[in-house]
Amino acid sequence: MSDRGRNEELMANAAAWVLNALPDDEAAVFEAELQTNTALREEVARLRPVADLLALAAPSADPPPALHGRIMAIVEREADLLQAAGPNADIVAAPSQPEAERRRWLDRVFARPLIPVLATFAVAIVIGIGVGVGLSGGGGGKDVSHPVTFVADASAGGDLVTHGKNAEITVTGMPSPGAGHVYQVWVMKDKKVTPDNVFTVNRSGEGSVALRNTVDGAQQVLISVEPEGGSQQPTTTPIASTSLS
Amino acid sequence: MHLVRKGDARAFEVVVERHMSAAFGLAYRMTGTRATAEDVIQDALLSLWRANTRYDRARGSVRTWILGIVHNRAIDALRRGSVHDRRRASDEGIEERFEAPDRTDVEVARREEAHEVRSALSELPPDQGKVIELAYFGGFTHVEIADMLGEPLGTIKGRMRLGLNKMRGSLVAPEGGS
Repeated sequence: MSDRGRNEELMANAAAWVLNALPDDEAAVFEAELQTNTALREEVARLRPVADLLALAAPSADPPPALHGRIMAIVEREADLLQAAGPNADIVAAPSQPEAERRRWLDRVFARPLIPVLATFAVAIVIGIGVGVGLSGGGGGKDVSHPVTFVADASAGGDLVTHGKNAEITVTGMPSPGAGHVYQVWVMKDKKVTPDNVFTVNRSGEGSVALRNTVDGAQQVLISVEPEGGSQQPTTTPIASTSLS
Repeated sequence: MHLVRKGDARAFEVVVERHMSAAFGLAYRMTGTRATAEDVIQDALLSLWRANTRYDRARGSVRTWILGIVHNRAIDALRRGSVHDRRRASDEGIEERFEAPDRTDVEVARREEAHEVRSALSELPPDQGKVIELAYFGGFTHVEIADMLGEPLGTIKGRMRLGLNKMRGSLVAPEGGS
């Protein structure tokens, strides 16, 4: 396709993009092009305000009162934890150079703006401690299931099943990680994260992955969105975690 | 919004109270089920609270920005599950059963604004209005819409662009001038 033809196609896609009507793979290409294509950005700037106004066309409707209560219960709990963490929650001692990148990621995970994330995990841990459910008879080799908690997706769910030193994660209801991206598992032990296998999900949002690292002695297993092929160090905030404590 | 970013739960509650009815109305209009709409709203608002999304002034008012987040989450829900197969609530049905009553001058103004947008949408040629409704409120991709209507993909994209441009002429103030 010629440059002109390609540009015409991109401009034609602008309306579909602002309406959220591009499939994921096309949306990823379009969004990459937006970074450098001035004419395309101008077209989006013209059309997006109109698309945004469409939301106002839906009639307002009072939700059930319980919804407000549910949301505010979570918010207030996380706000309390944020306050309890205090103003120095995000100050971390300077790390040694080789560990700098991973520690910065962990700082972001546990730093103040993300204390609500930690709070969510804390809530999950309060529920989750002792919930590691034994799935088969006693002695070594018993399967133990740990729930996976998702930060911002109430409809997603999953379990980490450990069998001795081995583990496998199964998830449901997860969105696609997006074109050019995968989900990656990280094993956290003593505040150090080790990269593990990558996975994606099918159209129903289901996926599973066996971990290649041992979870023996690990405190948490985390999931983040990474570029295709995975990363050696996390590049985004985790979207899910499970506690093994 | 600054206070919300700093973790002020009371500030966040004000935001919720101001925009919850519009947000729920949009989510219900799109998903057609109260339970899914509740999940969408909870997901969207908690995402906002946890600073996973930052207020983008380029997206206009806080209201349209929040509704944009709700729209994205509703699209995710529609494409993730089989909600497309469920009966979608019509605007008329929602008005009869659930529409939040006007309480203040602000809400009267908002209802008028909503009426303007609906008028602009209804004044479009039917083929343009249809594809915009299917895309924005139905959550369908342009490929799916082309399949549904038995039209070429280029035609569908063209109708989207023409329709939005026409609505822009009705709704968006001209830049510069008197």
